[in-house]
Amino acid sequence: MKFRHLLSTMSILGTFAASSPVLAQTVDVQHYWTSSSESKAMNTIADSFKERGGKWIDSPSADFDAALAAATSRIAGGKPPSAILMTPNSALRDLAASGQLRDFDDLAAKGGWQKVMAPIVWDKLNVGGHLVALPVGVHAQNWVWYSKPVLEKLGISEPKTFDELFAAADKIKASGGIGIATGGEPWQQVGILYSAILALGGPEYWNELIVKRSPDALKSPVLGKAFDIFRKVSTYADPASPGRSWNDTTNLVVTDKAGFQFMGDWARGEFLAAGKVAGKDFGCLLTPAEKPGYAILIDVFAFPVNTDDDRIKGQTLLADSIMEPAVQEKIAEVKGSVPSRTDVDTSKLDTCAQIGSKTLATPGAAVQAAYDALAGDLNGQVTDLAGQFWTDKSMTTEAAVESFGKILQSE
Amino acid sequence: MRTWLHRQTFRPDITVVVFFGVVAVFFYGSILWTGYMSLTRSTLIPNYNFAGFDQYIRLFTNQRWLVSCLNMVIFGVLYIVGTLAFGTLLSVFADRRIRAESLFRTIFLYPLAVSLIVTGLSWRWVLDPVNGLQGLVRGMGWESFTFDWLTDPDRAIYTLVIAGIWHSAGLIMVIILAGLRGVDDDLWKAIRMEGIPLWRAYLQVIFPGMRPVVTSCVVLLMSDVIRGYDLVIAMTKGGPGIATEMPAKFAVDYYFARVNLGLASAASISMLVLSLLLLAPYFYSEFRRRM
Repeated sequence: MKFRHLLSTMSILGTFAASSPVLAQTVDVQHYWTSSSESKAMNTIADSFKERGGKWIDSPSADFDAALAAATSRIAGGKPPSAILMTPNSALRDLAASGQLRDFDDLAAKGGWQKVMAPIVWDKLNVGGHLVALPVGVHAQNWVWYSKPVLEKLGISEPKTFDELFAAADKIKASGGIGIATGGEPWQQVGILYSAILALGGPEYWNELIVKRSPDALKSPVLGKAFDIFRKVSTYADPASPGRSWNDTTNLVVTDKAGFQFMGDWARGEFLAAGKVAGKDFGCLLTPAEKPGYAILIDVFAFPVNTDDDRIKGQTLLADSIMEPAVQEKIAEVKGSVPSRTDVDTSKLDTCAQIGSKTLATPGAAVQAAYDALAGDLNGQVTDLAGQFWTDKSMTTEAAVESFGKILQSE
Repeated sequence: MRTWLHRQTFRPDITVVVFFGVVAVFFYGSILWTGYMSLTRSTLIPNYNFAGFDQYIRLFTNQRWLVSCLNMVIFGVLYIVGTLAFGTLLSVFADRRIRAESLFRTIFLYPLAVSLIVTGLSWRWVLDPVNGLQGLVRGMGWESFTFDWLTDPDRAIYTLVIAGIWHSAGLIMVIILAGLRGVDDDLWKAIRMEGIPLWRAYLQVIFPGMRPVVTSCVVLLMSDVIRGYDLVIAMTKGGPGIATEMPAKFAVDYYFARVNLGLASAASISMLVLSLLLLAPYFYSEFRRRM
């Protein structure tokens, strides 16, 4: 009896062992897309991947930092995930430089991917001349979102300058609403500061200051003015603002409790997920500027080197799924980004996405967002500074500009 | 089986060697490695090129680190003093042979069974100015009631202290109660005969004799302070701004999210040195007593 039991167990195990090559093409995806619009976008990729016969293992984390932390410890522990959702920042460069990432030069050559991507996007994906990351969408940080019903009720038209924006916010505040919805997490706050710098200084100044970190750019009066605007925005924070997540904050605008929000265009995904229509229920503008810039943040997948044959095949299959134009369009539609492939049909996308793709295609407008552009932990230090300046009203603009300069010059 | 066990001669030396081997490699080895990392410019991946004390200079000119250290001192002093005072008070009450003592003991010890993350989240909800206590009281008609410490950068650190005391006071109560139960009955008889008031009896006779118990409590609480991470994450995430950052959170953030292994290691080593300095008086007094 016992012997038969053992035999049947062994034969079941044997079936599993024999069937695993058929299952093949497994991906283990470490990501942080958990809000409603984000998970729709991730499901778009997962569905396309599964349709091609792959097996999808979902490893979500609560936020970007946690996902990267989990991924790096898994790589260090010798059990790497097969794909990590990240942005092309210094962590990606570090991983690639130490040979931890698989490159896709062969697939890129075959698919002619370089020709269908904007040069600034392509450059960010390559480290040391190898394509080490694949883009899922291009976001931009310097957007402002507003509730159409709130503005219409008070007879306010879309603001063209910061002064008009603050005047509108004051009106909304006087009527009992929240003028500008702000989430009290440092990364959300520093986004407003960066948007102000880009708006006041323009793309060329941005490249001097953030990308090249030239000492001359630090002396410009633009910086002080940007900190002043940042401080002004902070005065609109409502009592529940500290610690509030970005999507809860966007939700205040979605439900017409607040007028404006400074947030990257991932916020558009939250409007769409709530069934709102761009141009009718909500409006969008790039932070008011004489010469509009477009601070792009690319969502990418990086593929740590795996040794298992199943998982290598899974990576290849996932790469094909991600680069499929139909998938790219669908992601842009649900998540609020702009497709990273230029050959994707954008006619179906809404007015906000149209503004986005037009600005991305304007020569000289697109710049690297600070998150990707700043080396090492500089962005983190600026984030700390912004969070401190936001909450500590006794900190002067001069002191903030000086600390900002010190941080940028410290590497 | 039994006879086989009996035949084995137990070799304590081998057990001890294995134990110390494990400790040496995983404990002291890790400390040494971290120390070495703190002297390099490693980012995401370890880099073994020696870079001197650069990271320590960067660390001690980093505003957030200095704020973190100051916060640890503020939190530490208030948390330890508060928990000890509250726990001692509870244990004295329990010591008076009240009715249903074990019920109260369980109730007060219960918070310890709740993880710090849950503690932090619950307190965050209670203290949230819009949806929590303040909103509740205002909703009942007291419109001007204000209790927004959680979102006030100057006061947020005290909300951590409140949650921390709530969490640990029960443990201190139980330890001190155990100490009180160890007090000789003759001592109590003498106190009663002399007619000493109860508060003086505790303050001047009983507690001075319980120094080792109190010292153990302090050391226990101090370790909570130094590794303070989960409570901060759940309650404030270090905010508003950087008002409630702690050294342990600084190290974790720089290890992972900010991928600066070198600076994070420097922070860890500084924390180790700091805790050794804080614990030195304790070890010194223990050592002297044994001599």
